[in-house]
Amino acid sequence: MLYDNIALALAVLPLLTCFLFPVTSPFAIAMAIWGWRKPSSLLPRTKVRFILAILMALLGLGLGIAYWTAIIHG
Amino acid sequence: MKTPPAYNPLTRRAYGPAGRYRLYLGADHLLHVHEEYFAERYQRFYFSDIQAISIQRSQTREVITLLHLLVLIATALVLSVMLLYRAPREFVIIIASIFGLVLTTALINHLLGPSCACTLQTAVGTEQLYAVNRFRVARRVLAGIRPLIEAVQGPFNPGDLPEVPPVLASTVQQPPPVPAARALKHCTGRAHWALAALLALDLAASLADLYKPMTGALETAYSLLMLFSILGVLLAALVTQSRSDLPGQAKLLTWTSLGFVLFALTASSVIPMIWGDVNQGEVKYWSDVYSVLGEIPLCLGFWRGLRGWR
Repeated sequence: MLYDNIALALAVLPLLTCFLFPVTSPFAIAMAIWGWRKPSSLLPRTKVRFILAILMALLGLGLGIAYWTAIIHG
Repeated sequence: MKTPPAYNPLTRRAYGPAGRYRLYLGADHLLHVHEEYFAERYQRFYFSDIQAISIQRSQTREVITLLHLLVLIATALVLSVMLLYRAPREFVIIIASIFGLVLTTALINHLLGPSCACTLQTAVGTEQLYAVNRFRVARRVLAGIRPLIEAVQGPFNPGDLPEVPPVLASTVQQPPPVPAARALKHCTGRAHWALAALLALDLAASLADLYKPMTGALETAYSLLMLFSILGVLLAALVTQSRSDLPGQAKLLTWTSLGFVLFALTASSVIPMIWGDVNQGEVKYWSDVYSVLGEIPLCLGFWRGLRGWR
């Protein structure tokens, strides 16, 4: 299993919508942390996707919170 | 912790039936990697186990080129109509970008060279190496791994191959009976010749129409007669070619002809809907241009694919 790609997909794909960030971003961060030390590929593979996934998920989380705060408080 | 073996890529990523594939060279084996997005699957082929590698010409490049050609013709026509009717510049830029992109990928596909199917045989069975899909790549891979296989199995000499025993040879001469479910019926290709003839006739009519347009009842009668004749013969060709021994190129051309006719029908109904005030003369002119551009390769393709076929 390629946990880094799963985490990245969870972080990036919801960017296509504007309301799913708060739901999928924590899962993306959890997946990145959980899969960090798991054996992934037989081929050389860096951790850059994990780092990107965490950064994108944090960004998404921030945007999602700001979006829903703005919606709720008018 | 055991360090993973180092692998060197032998090929670029190639698209196959179920994802991307790539071939790597290990210390004593080949690694065929099937890349799905969330997982990777591996097949190891040890040099000591490889019995044969066969490379066979495939039609993949021609099929991809044909698909590109159809998209290019369609995009060029849409672009011409948009320019003719001064469509908004943004839409023209989008369609022109699509045209440029498709043209670039078509050129890349052509420059990559002839396509092939590479099969590797071991004592267990045969496996297709989807990563090796071009002759150029296949030659490079073979040149790279042949010395490694010979280093393990000894130098290859065709004279060392064991002779086929007489009993086995007599068995080989008699092909095994083909199961009834897989038997291919013979197709004479008459419907396909008729389709090619109709397309050639329409091509001549379109060329004549460009020079001196038909008008009135004659034009309506000709269009309807030709449309229903082509659709009828197309249907007959599709039915007769199903599960038949007809060459693959002729089968593909029949489906392409269907796409060609359906696109023309769709375009002729959609264009007046988008641009309500279209000039019928100009629509007819571009329709003739579309027919000429599409029917020339189709006629030539049928002639080439069915030549000598009975």
